[in-house]
Amino acid sequence: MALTFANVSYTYSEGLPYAQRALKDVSCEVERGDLAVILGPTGSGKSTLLRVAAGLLAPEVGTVLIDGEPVQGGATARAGGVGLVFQSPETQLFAETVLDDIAFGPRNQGLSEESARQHAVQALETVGLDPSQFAERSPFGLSGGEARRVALAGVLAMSPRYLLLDEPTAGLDGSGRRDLAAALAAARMHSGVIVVTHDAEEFLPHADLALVLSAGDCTFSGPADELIQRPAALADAGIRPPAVLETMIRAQALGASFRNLTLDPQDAAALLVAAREARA
Amino acid sequence: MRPPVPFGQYVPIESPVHRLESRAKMGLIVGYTALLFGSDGFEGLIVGALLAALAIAISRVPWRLPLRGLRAIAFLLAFTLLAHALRWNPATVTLIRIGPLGIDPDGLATGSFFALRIVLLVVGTSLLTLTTSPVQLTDGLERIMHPLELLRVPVGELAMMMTIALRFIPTTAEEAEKVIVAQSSRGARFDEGGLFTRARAYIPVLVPLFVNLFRRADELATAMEARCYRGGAGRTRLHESRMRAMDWATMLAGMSFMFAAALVL
Ligand SMILES: Nc1ncnc2c1ncn2[C@@H]1O[C@H](COP(=O)(O)OP(=O)(O)O)[C@@H](O)[C@H]1O
Ligand SMILES: [Mg+2]
Repeated sequence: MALTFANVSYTYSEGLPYAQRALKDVSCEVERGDLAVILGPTGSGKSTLLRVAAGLLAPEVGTVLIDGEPVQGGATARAGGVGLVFQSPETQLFAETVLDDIAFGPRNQGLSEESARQHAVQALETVGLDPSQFAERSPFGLSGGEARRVALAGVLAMSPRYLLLDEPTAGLDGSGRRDLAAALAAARMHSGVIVVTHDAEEFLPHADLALVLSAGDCTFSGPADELIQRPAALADAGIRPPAVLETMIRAQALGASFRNLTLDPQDAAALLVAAREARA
Repeated sequence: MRPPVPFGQYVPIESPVHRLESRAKMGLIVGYTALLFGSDGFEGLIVGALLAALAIAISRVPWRLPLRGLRAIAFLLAFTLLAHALRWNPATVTLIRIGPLGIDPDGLATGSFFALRIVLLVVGTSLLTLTTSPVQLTDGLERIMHPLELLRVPVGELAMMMTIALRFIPTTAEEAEKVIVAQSSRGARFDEGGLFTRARAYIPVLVPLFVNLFRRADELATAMEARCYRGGAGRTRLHESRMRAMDWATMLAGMSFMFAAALVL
């Protein structure tokens, strides 16, 4: 059971003078229950990768399989295969009430009005918004973080086996980020999650798998811990390492030597002290 | 899924046609239109077709782009052709006859003439938008309309409105595309059911589109005020586009050739 990318390439405006190769020969496999983080600077092809994964763009070369089946855009979404949360998804809310908006997806899946609403209420709870407070509110009067979580709930309500998120924390303040991270942790209980971001700080510490994209090329693909041990793969792609990791790299440059690198502040502190004692 | 249409289909590449000043191009279009409508035989259209083909070749724009506009007027073309070609109970010798309906060669020739004239007009003028950025285009129009300021026509404001509208069209098209894709990934279907069902299916697209558009327009207005925009009067340009000798020469030579051809052919 996995979402599989095999040798996927994609080119925008193919055949035109301004054709743009956005993905080159990308392969990866994300199991259900995994959190995969795809890192890359702006323009590296992250959003394109997600659109291809959701079957909204057909790859020029290669295949995308969801649990062994070829992905097919809206049909796969209705079948609960993939759910894609776009960048700034709050700009896509449209219904009169929050609950009605969230129930839109389940209704399209053919659920009865009653069970669509049930799914919607559950999804609201999953993202940490109290249904009794939010269900009947207008989606246009919410704060940025709340609206973002309502949009996430709109996708979660469709119970996708794989949840794809494009820059989910972009433009949120500190508390918005924390609430969203908690909502994602809850979502992870039911789905494989693929998060695309240019910010390694946010999701790398919780990731099982990591992929690094650089101008459409996949320059790293493997367990997240392997990426942490090879921070040059981040730097080469122009991604700033998480602060703890950066501190350790700078200590290394000053002569400290570590058995391994870590993102955990407590572990890092212990390693720094040990390195200092070893030198003395 | 098709990629978003770059509006006005401006193709940002380098070519002598792209470099030509927008006013010179507009002048040539005027001459071209005069040629197409001034000549009353196929000869004029053939000269026009050759000129258009030459311009497209020089512009290095892919051939299918100027031809793409024809799809939109396919119905108009078919109607023009048939309206002239079809005869009720034709007395003359007919090409094809179905019951009382017939097609006669003269009618077919006239129909083809008018249809070809429309084809050439569309293909030729689309080269203007294919090789001129929207900003250059409005700039050129503003300069041409400049004398109207004497008649108290607010040319500056009109041009600013046009620039902003043009500026918003690609963003809006892009945004519409995004919202359509987003809602279809939530299972929305846009291509099923009758007319009413289809129209209803677009509500989840139109509502966010309008909300976002108004929000953006409001932000733009605030930003313009914050930077002290007070109408068009006294505005200057950062990149003053000028008619160079080459632009004048190309425009005048092209225009006089086409006007002459229109008179002769
Ligand atoms: N609709 C499009 N048409 C043409 N080029 C595009 C389109 N969308 C993205 N691109 C180009 O493809 C490349 C990858 O874009 P994208 O996947 O959006 O990157 P990211 O999400 O990592 O910022 C960029 O160079 C971008 O300019
Ligand atoms: Mg992106």
